[in-house]
Amino acid sequence: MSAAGDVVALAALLARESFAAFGGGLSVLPAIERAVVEQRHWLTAQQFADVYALGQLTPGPGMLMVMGIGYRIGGVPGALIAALAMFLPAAALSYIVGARWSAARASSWRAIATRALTPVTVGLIVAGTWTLTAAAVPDARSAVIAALAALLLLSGRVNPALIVLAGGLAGFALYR
Amino acid sequence: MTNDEANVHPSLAQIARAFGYIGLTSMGGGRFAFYFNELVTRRRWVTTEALLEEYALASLLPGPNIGNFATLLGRRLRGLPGAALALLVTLLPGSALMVALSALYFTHGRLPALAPIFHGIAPAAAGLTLGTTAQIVWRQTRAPVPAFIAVLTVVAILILRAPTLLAIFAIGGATALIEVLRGRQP
Repeated sequence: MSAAGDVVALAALLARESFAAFGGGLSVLPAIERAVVEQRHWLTAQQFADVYALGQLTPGPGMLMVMGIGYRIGGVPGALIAALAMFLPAAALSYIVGARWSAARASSWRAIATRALTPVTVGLIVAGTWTLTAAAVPDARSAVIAALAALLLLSGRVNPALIVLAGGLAGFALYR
Repeated sequence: MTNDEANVHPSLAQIARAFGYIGLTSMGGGRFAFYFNELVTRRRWVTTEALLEEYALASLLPGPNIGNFATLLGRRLRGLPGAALALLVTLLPGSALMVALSALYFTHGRLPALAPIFHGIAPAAAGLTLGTTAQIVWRQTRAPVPAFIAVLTVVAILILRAPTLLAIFAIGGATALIEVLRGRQP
């Protein structure tokens, strides 16, 4: 198949998987890997893992990693189309649902739903924070970095971006 | 009016700056914390409750959570142009870097030697998320009932390994039902 045809096939795959991604993009990563690595042979398993790692290194949503797949198939245009396919259809649906939700602000069912959802969301965030921290803090050195970062944030005096940068510098000094 | 929680209507230029800044700086996981710190703590554009409401919607809807979250927040602040711009500038810095790194990677066939830096960024971002989560828990779960529901959700996800969507529908649905039934009592 031509590169252009492959880019279109990738866009269709990503758009479809984005609508299957309940609970975030990570939930469909195995399905994307199966299609990209095993069925289409666009990337090797190692390349897929490396592109995922690149997505972790870059700021913004982790699912921007799909741009690495798009780049492999169709260069810069392929990368841009992959990002659009992953994010745009889901964002359009979010916009429509958000507008409906906002239009219902006077209704009593929305007030009930919001009161019920808020503590559940707090629970989701606590669980997510636990999972994230367990993965990011494998040893004592990283625990010290995490504790210092939390304290600096709670002091309210240090910019979060500077805290992350300082963490990067500490990592360079400690793990080199 | 699209921002129904506060009388704040930032300009598109302000939205581009705020979300672009988050897009540029939100590294190492726990992206939610960066939105809380920029939009609730620093700029006071949305309340904690409003942010949690949009986060709940973003988690319920299919697709990459942070893309949906930025879209919903942009819409709340300034309608369709706000939503489109918030999503665009959230993705722009990471996209540029992702293209550059992909080009390097597929040319040279190996990852840049950034692993030590990432070993420091990941725990720092986790620490930011811990601090942010502590603030949210402190503000939202001081009453016993919300605290109980939050704990129930944590148990469902971390110990019972329930899928996110199931936990939201089961626990949120049960809470709403109890509230409706209690409201109907004379």
